Amino acid sequence: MATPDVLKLSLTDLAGKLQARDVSPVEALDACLDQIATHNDEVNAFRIVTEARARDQAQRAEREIAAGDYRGPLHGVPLAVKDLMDMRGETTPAGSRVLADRVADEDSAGVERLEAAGSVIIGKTHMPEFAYSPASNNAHYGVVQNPWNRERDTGGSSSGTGAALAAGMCFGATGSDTGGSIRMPSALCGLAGIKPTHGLVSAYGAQTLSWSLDHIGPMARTTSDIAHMLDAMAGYDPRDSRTRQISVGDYAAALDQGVEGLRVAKVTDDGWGDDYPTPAVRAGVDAGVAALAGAGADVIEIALPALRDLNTINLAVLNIEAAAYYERFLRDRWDDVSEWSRDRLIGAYAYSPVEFVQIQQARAALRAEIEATLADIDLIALPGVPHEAPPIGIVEQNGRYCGPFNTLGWPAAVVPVGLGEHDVPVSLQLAGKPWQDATVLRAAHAVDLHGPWHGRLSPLLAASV
Amino acid sequence: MRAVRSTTLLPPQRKASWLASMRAAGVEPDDATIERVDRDIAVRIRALDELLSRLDFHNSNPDYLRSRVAEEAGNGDA
Repeated sequence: MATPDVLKLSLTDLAGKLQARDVSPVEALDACLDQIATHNDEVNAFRIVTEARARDQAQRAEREIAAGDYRGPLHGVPLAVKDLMDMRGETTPAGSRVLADRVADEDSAGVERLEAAGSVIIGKTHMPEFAYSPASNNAHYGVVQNPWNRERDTGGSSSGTGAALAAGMCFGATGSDTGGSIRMPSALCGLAGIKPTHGLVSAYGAQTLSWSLDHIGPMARTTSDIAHMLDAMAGYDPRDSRTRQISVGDYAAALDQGVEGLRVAKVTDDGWGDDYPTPAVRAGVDAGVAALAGAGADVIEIALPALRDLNTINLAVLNIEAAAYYERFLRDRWDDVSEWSRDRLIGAYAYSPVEFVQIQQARAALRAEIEATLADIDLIALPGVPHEAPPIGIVEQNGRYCGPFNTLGWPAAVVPVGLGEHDVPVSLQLAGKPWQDATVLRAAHAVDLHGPWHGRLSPLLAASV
Repeated sequence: MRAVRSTTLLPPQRKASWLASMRAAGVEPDDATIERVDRDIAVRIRALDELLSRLDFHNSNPDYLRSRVAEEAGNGDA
């Protein structure tokens, strides 16, 4: 199989060819490395490429598969990790200068689990400083181009992951999500991404932004791809006290259960009362919801103005917890922190201690309110991002539909459902009840199968010949 | 990098306590930084104040809050 054709495969399709030995892990790795070598100088998706380690893993996977020791759908698949997750022997700057020299002495849980499943980790992807931005902006390492329209931003904070996947530089990658940082770049780059239930995936060895809101999760080109990654990543980790000792689902196996009888609530009032979402986003969400209805879901409409309140809580908690973690750098290394991050972090000191307690109470009260409102609902359907990707250099505060589910800790996934203005993707977000990640993925998969997207490729990837 | 900033500012007393909290933490931004952030944070603080004022914290028992919210949800207010 010629190199560009390999790159155009989804992770799931590549896995089938690796298992059948139609493609070798080394061939898949070389295809990715060639794509990175050709495009990364401009796109700026990867900060480092760990070629030696990746080649060792790919050669090992090749030997194991040839010997009949096939580990599963990630075996031999080139993946990337966001640059806030530790890889032994590599630095973890998390987009910053102040952490740039710290070398990890062990792998993060995410890297450990993905490698245990046989995947080939090819490098670490760019991100804004401390993951504290809804865009790719980074004063230290530069912005990231969106492969759908290279004058447009990828969204953040998993910006390099979004670009790497849309450009065909890898087949799956990790992101982190504190107020939408998996879902926003997934939405703006035409990808599937899931923020799992809080506590389903270990964040051990991942740089903190906000300990009660941070989530680690997978991004890829299809829902099936991220389900396979979540199968490897989910589960209790005694090193991360946020994870739970519960049985985790077989997410990929559950995809084919369909959506017959699921009750899906499409949000008609988000509490903002403004012109968002844009017409293209509305049309995409409608098309995605219609696909679910066509596949047998029971769709109703619902007003959820509390989404705005949940987002307000998200912004406040994130701000205060981030400042609590990074205060040492504000105090001791002010000039080494970017103006963007400093401006955001110091806002935390405007909240009073009494307000912080009230914020926690409001978080509990709003969770109870939403639980009561959605008692008979399986899934909420709403946009991932309320607009298309903005021009590079413009930071839109686009987390209004994502932050609420970090506040709640509930699982939420995005899938592409069309192209908007400037030929950039728009997305549908599906959010579910705690620990119902399999239900969320089943519905997202149904949108992949029956929706309007049909596995489109970015112009950059489609033109790779 | 451009972000849209509002013209709303923190009330003077609130601004004074913000600056005092930063000083107590050993964080000492320059005047230009304070002016920029004042506009950003004022909008968020106002949204939070509006939200918190809608919730009754005179009885701060979380069980009370939960039952009150459930009651409102049952009445169709949620």
